[in-house]
Amino acid sequence: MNKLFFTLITMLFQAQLLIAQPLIDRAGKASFYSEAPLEDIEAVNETLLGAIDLDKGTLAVSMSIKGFHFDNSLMEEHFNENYLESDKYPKAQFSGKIKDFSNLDFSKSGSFEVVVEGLIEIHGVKKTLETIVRFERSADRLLANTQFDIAVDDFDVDIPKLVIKNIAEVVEVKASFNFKKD
Amino acid sequence: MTKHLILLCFLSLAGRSLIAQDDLLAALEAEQSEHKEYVEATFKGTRLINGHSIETRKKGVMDFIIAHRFGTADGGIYELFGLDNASIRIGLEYALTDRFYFGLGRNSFEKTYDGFVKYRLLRQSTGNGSIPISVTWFSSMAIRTLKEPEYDLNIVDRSAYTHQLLIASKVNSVISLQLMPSWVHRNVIRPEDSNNDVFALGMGGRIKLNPRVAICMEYYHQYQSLNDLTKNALAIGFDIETGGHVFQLQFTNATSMVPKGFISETSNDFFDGEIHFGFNISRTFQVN
Repeated sequence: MNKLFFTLITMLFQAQLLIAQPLIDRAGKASFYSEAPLEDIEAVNETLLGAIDLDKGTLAVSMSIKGFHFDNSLMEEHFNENYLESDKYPKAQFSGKIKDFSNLDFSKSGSFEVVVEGLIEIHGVKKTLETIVRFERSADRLLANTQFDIAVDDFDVDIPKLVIKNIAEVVEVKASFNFKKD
Repeated sequence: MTKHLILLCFLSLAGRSLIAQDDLLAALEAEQSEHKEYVEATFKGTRLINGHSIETRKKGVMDFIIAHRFGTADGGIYELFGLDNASIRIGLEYALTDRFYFGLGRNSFEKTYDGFVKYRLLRQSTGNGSIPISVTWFSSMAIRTLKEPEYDLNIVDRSAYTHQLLIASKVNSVISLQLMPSWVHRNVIRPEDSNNDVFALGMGGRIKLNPRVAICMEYYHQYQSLNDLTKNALAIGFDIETGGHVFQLQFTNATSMVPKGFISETSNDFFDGEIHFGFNISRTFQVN
């Protein structure tokens, strides 16, 4: 009986080990660009957390809003205080799935594009997002790049009329991750 | 034993199903450690109303501040409620680092030149090793250059100094509070004045009405008085933020816009209608 018990435990541990760990990048990069008649605004965040599970074809991204840095420090303060309200909503997140994952082969080197669909949450508002992610696979790493547009209004970010010429209604977002294979 | 086995099988299955739910996002959340973050924007501007707030500008930012105080409102319609008379302070300020801030200004009231330095000793933070308050040291020197032929005074005689410890806490995103222990020193006082040194405790705060508008209050309680006529300075104001500008509107019994002036030389009685309407406009430039 004892023997069976131990065998079972050993088997359980092995089973656990077989479940592949997701790949995690702790220094992902995101930037957004707002082009408006009076000024262009750009902000960069280089502390994104990104994870990809190559067994299930799922992806997740989490970032701190305060991690976005602007050239103009007062603009950064206003971005946090007035627009994204980072005290109330400190994070932006995405979780999604790779479409047609079962037909894709992630083990081959080279670059390929996939469609990812999921939920994005900014400023406490969740929206569905579908975007093309370009993967670049080499022996020891997996690079992921994407670019999409976000309508500020969709996320209940209020732009006062006074600065409507300073802030674009649709901003261009770029994100990139570098997953290292062990 | 069989019972144990069943339990073990059950547990292991439960464990598997948890992983199978594959909340990658939850895994990432667990990753995000509680790292230290400074609390930003305790106040919208570098001034609470008359006096300074704990805030300084970020490194490389220049701030151009124009402040106006009109005459007292009790002059009635004849004086257009004080709008006939105005004093102005023009100031230029610069942040050498994220903590060190200095500025120069001139107030038309008594033709006073002033300079100040400000250093952020402690910054309120959240996360690991968090600190619940911010502390900023503030020192100012003011030189009155109004011609007074009846006195023979040199520049040192005309100087007054103010030192303050500004202690503030952003209680939440709506409410911020500040305490200002203050010391005003004059090298020379007039015969009718009785104290070279005036100690005062300032207190104030703001309540945000919406992301861009806040209501502010500021009060300086004096423990000594310069002479028998001085009153404690009280001010109520609104902060309105529009892009690169911070616009502050205020109602106060203080006439001077220089610390030694509003803390210890205020002679109007707020509750007798001797109230000045005024505003501060601040425009910032990212110089480098």
